[in-house]
Formats: sequence, structure tokens, C-alpha cells
Amino acid sequence: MRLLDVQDLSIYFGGLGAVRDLALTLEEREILAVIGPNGAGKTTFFNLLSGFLKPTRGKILFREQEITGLEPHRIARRGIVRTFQSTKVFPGLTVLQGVRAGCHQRVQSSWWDIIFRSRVFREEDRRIAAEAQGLLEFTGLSSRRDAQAKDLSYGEQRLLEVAVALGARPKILLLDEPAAGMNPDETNRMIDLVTRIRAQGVAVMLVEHNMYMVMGISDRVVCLNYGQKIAEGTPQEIQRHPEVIAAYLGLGAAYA
Amino acid sequence: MRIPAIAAAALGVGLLPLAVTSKYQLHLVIMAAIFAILTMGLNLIYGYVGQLSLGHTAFFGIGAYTSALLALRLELGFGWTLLAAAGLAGLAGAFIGHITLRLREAYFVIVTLSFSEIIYLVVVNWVDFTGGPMGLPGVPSPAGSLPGVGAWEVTSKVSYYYLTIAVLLPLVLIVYRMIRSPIGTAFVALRENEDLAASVGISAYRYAMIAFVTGAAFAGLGGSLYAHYVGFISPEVFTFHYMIMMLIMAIIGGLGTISGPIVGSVLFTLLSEYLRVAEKLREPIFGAILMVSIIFMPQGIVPLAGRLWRALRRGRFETP
Repeated sequence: MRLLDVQDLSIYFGGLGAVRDLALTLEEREILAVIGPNGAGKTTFFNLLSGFLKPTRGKILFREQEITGLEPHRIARRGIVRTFQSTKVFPGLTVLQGVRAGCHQRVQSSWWDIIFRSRVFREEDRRIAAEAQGLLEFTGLSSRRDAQAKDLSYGEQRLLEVAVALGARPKILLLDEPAAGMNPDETNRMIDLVTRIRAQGVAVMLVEHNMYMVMGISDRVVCLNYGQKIAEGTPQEIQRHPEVIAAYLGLGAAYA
Repeated sequence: MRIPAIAAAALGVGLLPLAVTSKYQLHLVIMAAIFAILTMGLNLIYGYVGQLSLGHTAFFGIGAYTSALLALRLELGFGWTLLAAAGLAGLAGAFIGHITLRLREAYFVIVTLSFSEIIYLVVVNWVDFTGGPMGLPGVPSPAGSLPGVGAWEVTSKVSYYYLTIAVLLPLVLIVYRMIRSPIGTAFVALRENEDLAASVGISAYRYAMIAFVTGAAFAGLGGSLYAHYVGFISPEVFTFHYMIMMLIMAIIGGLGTISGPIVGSVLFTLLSEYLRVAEKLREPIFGAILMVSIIFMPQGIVPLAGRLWRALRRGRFETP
């Protein structure tokens, strides 16, 4: 079964088509990179997928079920979880609490369970604490578990974002520029992390400008320009694609 | 160290009427405890979820009027009027929450404030039912009968103090357990970053609703206690004066802390009472206190005291 099937997806802001007639698929355990010059519509596309924007036209099917236009928290509950381009953490929560917040959708306890500290609550509390701890180890943040998120370094905050997102047990993880502003060492850690996430059976879609990362880990690359898909293929094919080269080197005018 | 602290606090609360023998001072303590119940409710939605509701007085008033009307018109016992006050205030909260919680920030503030004004106008104008501007005098003291115990009535200040505490303490426990649970984590996650919370599946509407309805029910309980205690209520209970009082208490005590509303209520009830000597200056002084506390201790007294305590133990003070 196809994990994600995007059909003719478009969104217009006034007369501007930020994403136009975009068709795209994602398979189980695939790593797909979405690239393109600034303003190509990559983040808008992520906002559409995660429900933060509603498309003007088109459909998004997740495991053959339509999820177009659902509210963000409902899409997250289906299994599509995103991170944000501008780092977003819960600044006043500790690292552990933040990841626990990420695990939120598996909370079964009712209000009464919580008030009376029932066995359901106590077992669930232990289970989620263990899961959150596991995710901190997975992302290499265990030593920072009791620090407040706002006290982490930039690189650590980006890892925390991923840990929080993984708490929601995504089937598809959308990473919006995970390596932006990172030094080569941090980038390598992020590449390693994404590879290990895929190994757990999660499909990853990433918007990224860092070509070292894109070419290093992607199975497939899609290039957008002016809201439209201009190329799709393996990293090698994309690197040689004339329209991609034109878009990046600013020769777009020659084709217009 | 926690259990002795709790035991000491319990002993203090239990024995307080022995130390505070003046009726007037005991009255202030009772009012502080009622305000603590109201402010704890406001703190859930404003302090934890981060949505400022200016409609909290409406739930306080609904609780007070529900209790007074049921006691006067139907002669229901106190247990029933108290429960009905909480229930009706909670229902009103669910109704208004359903309409307003899809709004955010300024819009939410304005709609909740308008709701409070509407309820006020209804109460003032529906003279046959509510007594209009004249209010409802003669609300009976809490009384009822228990199987095995017989008829009981709370008349003295000391017994009313224990009654109020008997309502307050379970509410403190409820807040504590809600906050130290995934519900509390969801509240704070929404306050800290609503988009991120949504992106991991936390529904803003659902959790704001839980906080809002629980807070409204608390205000209903406070209103009921107030009506039976004072014995007379008028549309004055809906006025913005009470809203300001609750806000100052919540902010000075410490928004988003469990003990903040209680500390704030005690301090501010005493303060506003002692400021009666300067009646005309009272409101400007409130304003000044609020400004000074926001500038110098924006997080309130409780977090500040916590930092001071840790600094004393470690020998240095860290700024937040």
C-alpha cells in the first residue's frame, strides 16, 4: 500500500499559486527530499500536508484514506508528524517533559483515573516515562533530560524537536530544514539520526538546502520551483537535471 | 522533607482558629479561602493554558445565584445547592467555552468579558426571578441533615472556616493531580507553543475546554460558599471589581503554579482590607501594586520564593 499519495495539490494566496498541481507519492520506509530555491513552496507544501493550511484544490491520501483539510492535531493522530523550519520547542518544559508531551496521543487515562491515581494511570505513567527516556537515548539527549528546553544549544534543540515528534510515533516524519544552521559535525549527527529513524520503519520527508545531507541520505528527490514540481528522481539524476541546475543558478528566466 | 511540610501545613490550617480569635480576622481568612477557590479556577485557564478569561466573575455569580435561588425558592439543603452551583457554572462554562475557545487571545478575552456583562444585565433586569438590583437577601446559612448525624447548621465563623477549608482542600488536590499528569503537560504545552502541541496531536480546543470548565465549576463552588456565608447577594458579584481582584491574586501569587493562587488570595485579601483606611486610594494602589509586581517579579511570589530558597541552600542566586 502506498503510504502517501498527493494529487493535484494547489493553494492560492490571492492570485499567487504557492503550490500548484503538485502530485507526489511516498512509499513505506522511504526518505524523500524536497528541494528548491527559496520561495519555491516547500514549507507551504509541508503546511498543507500537516493541516496548518487548507488546500484550494487537490487531495492528500494517507494509506488510501483522505486527510485533506483535517485539523493539525487530527493529522498528527493519523501518523503524520512534522517539525518546523524555525526551531520550535516547549521553552519552559524540561527536555523530558517535552518528549512526554510528544507522547501525548497514547494517553488513555480519563480525568477520573488522573484524579484518583488509578492503576490505569500509574501503569501508563511508568510506560510513558520509559518511552520518553528511550527517545532521549535514541536522540542522544539523556544527559540533558532535566534541563529546560530554552537552555539547550541550538543543535540540541533541533534534536529535541525530533525527539518530541518521534514521541507521537509517526508513520511519516516531516522534517523542515533539519540541518539549517548546523555545523558539519551536527549535520552528520542529524544524518545519522534520520538514517536510524528510517531503520525503525518510519518514512521521512525532508525539506533541506544542505545538499550534502540531501544527496547523502535520500532515496528520491523532488525539486520544486514557483510552486510546481520541475524534477523528480534519484539524487544522481537530480544533480544532472538541467531544469534543477537552471532553477538553482538563476537561469529560470531563460526558460520562461 | 515533603511529608513533614505537609503535616505542618495541615496542622497550621487545622489549628488556625485557635490563633485567630478575632471574628473580623477570621472573616478575612474565610474570604481569602473563598477567593483562593475562585483564583485557582482562573489559574487553570489563564496560568496554565495561557488564555486570559475575563468571564470568570460570570461563573462566580452563576454559582452564587444558583445557590441562593435554590435555597430561597426551593429550600434545598446546602449539599444540593453547592453541587448545583458547581454543575450549573460548569455547564455555563462548557457552553461559553464551546463558542469562544475556537477564538484566541484578544478575541477570547473580549467575548468572555461580554459574556459576563450579558449575565449581569439579565440578572439586573429579570427582577421577578433574581430580585434585580435589590439582590437576594436572607440566603440561609449552610444547613442540612445527614443520616446518622441528624440536622446540622453552620452558623459560627469557626465552623464556616472549616467548611470552606473542607471544600478548598480537595480542590487543591484535584489541581495538583491534574497538573502532575498528561493533562497538565498538555496545558503547558499549549501555552508554550500551540503549533508544536498541535503537531504532536494535542487538541487545543479539548484541553482549553477541560481547563475552562473545571475553572468555571470551581468559581461556581466559590460563589455558592460566598452566597451562603454573606447571606446576601446582588448583581454586584458580576462586576469587574471581582475580576480585577482575582487577576491580581493570580498574578501576584504566581501564574501557572499550584500554590500561587492561594498565596496571592491570602496576601491580597488582607492587603485590600487594610487599605480600607484609604478608601479612595484603594484602586490606584491596586494598580500600582500590580504594575510593580509585574515589573519586579513577573512570575509572581511563589516562583520567586522558590528561587530564593534554592539560592539560600546553594549560596548563590540565579536570575531566570
